[in-house]
This record gives sequence, structure tokens and C-alpha cells, in this order.
Amino acid sequence: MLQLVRAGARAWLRPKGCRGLKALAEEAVQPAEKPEPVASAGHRVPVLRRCELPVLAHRRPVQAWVESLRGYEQERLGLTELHPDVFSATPRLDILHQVAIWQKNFKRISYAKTKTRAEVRGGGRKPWPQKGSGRARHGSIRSPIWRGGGVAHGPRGPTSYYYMLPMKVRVQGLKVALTVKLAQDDLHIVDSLELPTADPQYLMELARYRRWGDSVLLVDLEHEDMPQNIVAAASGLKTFSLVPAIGLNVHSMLKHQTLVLTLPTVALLEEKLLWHDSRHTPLYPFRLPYRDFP
Amino acid sequence: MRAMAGSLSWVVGRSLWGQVPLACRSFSLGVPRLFHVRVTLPPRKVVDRWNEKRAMFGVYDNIGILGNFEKHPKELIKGPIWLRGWKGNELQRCIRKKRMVGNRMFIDDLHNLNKRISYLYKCFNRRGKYR
Repeated sequence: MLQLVRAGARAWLRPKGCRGLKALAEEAVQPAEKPEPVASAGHRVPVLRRCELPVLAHRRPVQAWVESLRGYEQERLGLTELHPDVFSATPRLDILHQVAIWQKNFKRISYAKTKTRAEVRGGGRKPWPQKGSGRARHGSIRSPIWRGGGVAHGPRGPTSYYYMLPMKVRVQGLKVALTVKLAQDDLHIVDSLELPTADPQYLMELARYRRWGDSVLLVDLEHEDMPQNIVAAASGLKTFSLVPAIGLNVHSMLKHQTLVLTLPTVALLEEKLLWHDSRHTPLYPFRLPYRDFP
Repeated sequence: MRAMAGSLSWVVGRSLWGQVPLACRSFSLGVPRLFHVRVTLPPRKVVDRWNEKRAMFGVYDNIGILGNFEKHPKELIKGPIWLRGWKGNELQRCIRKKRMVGNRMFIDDLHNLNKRISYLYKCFNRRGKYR
């Protein structure tokens, strides 16, 4: 009893970071045997991909079904493990909003421009003498109170609305968007984007059969390695968009109802997004070479 | 004729407009017909929410984070060369435009730009509460 109390007190006094690191070290030394997931009929469900990157001790990887696009019925081929810090992050809707508004505005350049009284053609001479004519006094015929005159406080020239959110906020926005998609059953993981036919109708019927929704965002790993069938099918449909993994972003994820990722894409996303959790602050931009970062 | 004139003479005069049957009363729309106000809705404009530009909006905005930092999202912005990946107030924009493209502007435009710069400089630095 006393030992339990002492252990409890020690656990409470020790800072949380230490406990996580120690647990990670233990896990690295002896990889814990996770029980094989068993389906209801008693058959083993194969886990097609395990999480390579270290998971903190107090969390477990999230699991999702792996599907295939080759047949209508080919859902539930196996399971894949997804890192909890990417696919089960805190659902920060305010960060989602910030990132979505940033995406909308940072590229915006407004070209509205009006001429001021100095730029409107004419209007250098005083129209009539100051005193004597009985009319109101004026200095030029192009002042803003005149018809045909310049605009006093109008839009001036091409204006840019550029700003950048901190890199970690943008990264967290991606993680939150992926979390929300998974939690709301709008995320589907596919082994590869290979179709039996290049017919756009096949893809639409597949999405309707599997109840994916009106719009689907398909993400493959590289632009060059996309199968021809999916490229032809997606180019024939308006609401089905095919993007490489580099093109994933919060606005597209919110615009399309469903998100379909391939297994290599999931690995790339986890690697890229988790690196920011444990990196040093940049002394110079990351595009310049670092010794330990490719 | 004289009887008709006599029978209607009591409605002449604005005080007895309430006794006149409704079909006789004149009315106005409240707006003189010179200010053309439309009384019907215009035809609804058809907006295609899934054209190429709208469906692909925002793609490659995270090209830095997900792509080894070879490109920055500010390099995706299309626009005047003095405004790509940069923001400033009007005076800063004018000065930057003059520095970057001033040598190839039209003479009138350059003259207007110089006038604008000197006006804004005096406005910001000599007048007002914040200088």
C-alpha cells in the first residue's frame, strides 16, 4: 500500500516529458506485442501497415480500413495504423479557420484603382476668379466634389493581401483537417489508385455505391506515377479532383466531401507533419542546406 | 352638363377625398418615373462552383511543408512583380513600384507616381496625429 502511494507520488512529481521519453526508450528496447485484431467471424484481419514513427506512450495508433478501387465490393482489405498525433489531434476548429482564411487571402491581389484629382486629365486652371462671379469658389474642375472629378479616398493601385501564418500553425491545420475527416468517416485509405477501366462513369458509380458523397479528393504520391486510368477518369468528372501529395491543403479538404489517400501518401504525410513536432527553430531558411536535414 | 358639374362639385377640394369611390382616386408609385427602379428580380446569375479554378483552389499552398522546402508558397502568387509575396501600405507600395519598375514606366505614369509619393510622404509625416 505504502509502495503504491510512493509510486503514485513519484509519478505525479516527475515532469510529464521525462515519463514519455522513458516509456519510448522502453518501447524501443522491447517492441510491445500488440494483439492481432480479430474480426467478428474469428478470422484474423491483416494489418497492412504499421506506424514506423515513434508514438508517445500514452497514445495508441488509430486504425482505419484499407480499401481498393479495383472492384465495387473491395472494401475492408485490411487495416492500417495511423499515427495519433496526425490523425487524432485535438480538433482545433479555430486553427482550421485561420488556415482556410489564410489560403483564401494570401494570394489575393486586388487590381481596383481610381484616379485621384491629380491624375484625372485636366483641372490645372482655376475655373473662375475667386471673387466677383457669384458662384462658389473652386480651384480646379477635377476636385472630388465635381462631376467628372477624381475620387478622394478610393482604392489605390494593385493592393496585395499577403501574409504568412507560422509554419507550425499551418502544419497543425493540416493535422486537424485530417483528424476531422477521419473522425467524421470521410477519410478512406486505398492501397493504390488503380482502376479497371478509364471510364469516369465507373468512378462515379463506385463512389455512389460506397456512399462517399458528391465530391471526392483523390491524393496520390507523385504526379508522374499516377495510373493513366485514374487520370482519365478524374479529368472527365468535375467534382472528383486528383492531386499529388504535395498539393494537399485544408481548403480542398473542406471543399470536397470525401478524402481518399493512398498508403504511400499516408506515410509521406506522417513523416512530413511529425517532423515539425521535434525540430529546432530555423537559424536560416530551411531551403538552404542543413547538415542533418535533407 | 350643368347638373353633372353640380353633382361633382362637392368632390373638388382635397378634404373630401375619402368620399370618392376608390376607382376614381389617382395614385402614384412614390417614385417619379424618371428614377428607373426595377420592380422585378433580375435573372439569377449561374455560378459554377466546380469549374477548374474553383475546384483546384488552394492546391500547392503547402508545397513548402510537404515538399522539402524547395519552393515557398509566395512564389505561387501571380501578379505585378513588385507585389509578389509582399504587403505594404500605399506609400510603401508606391516606393517599391518606383524602385522595381520605375525605369520602364511611361513618363506620365512615372510623373503621377512621383506626385503621389511626395503627397503621401507629406500626409503621413507632417499631418495628422500619428507621425
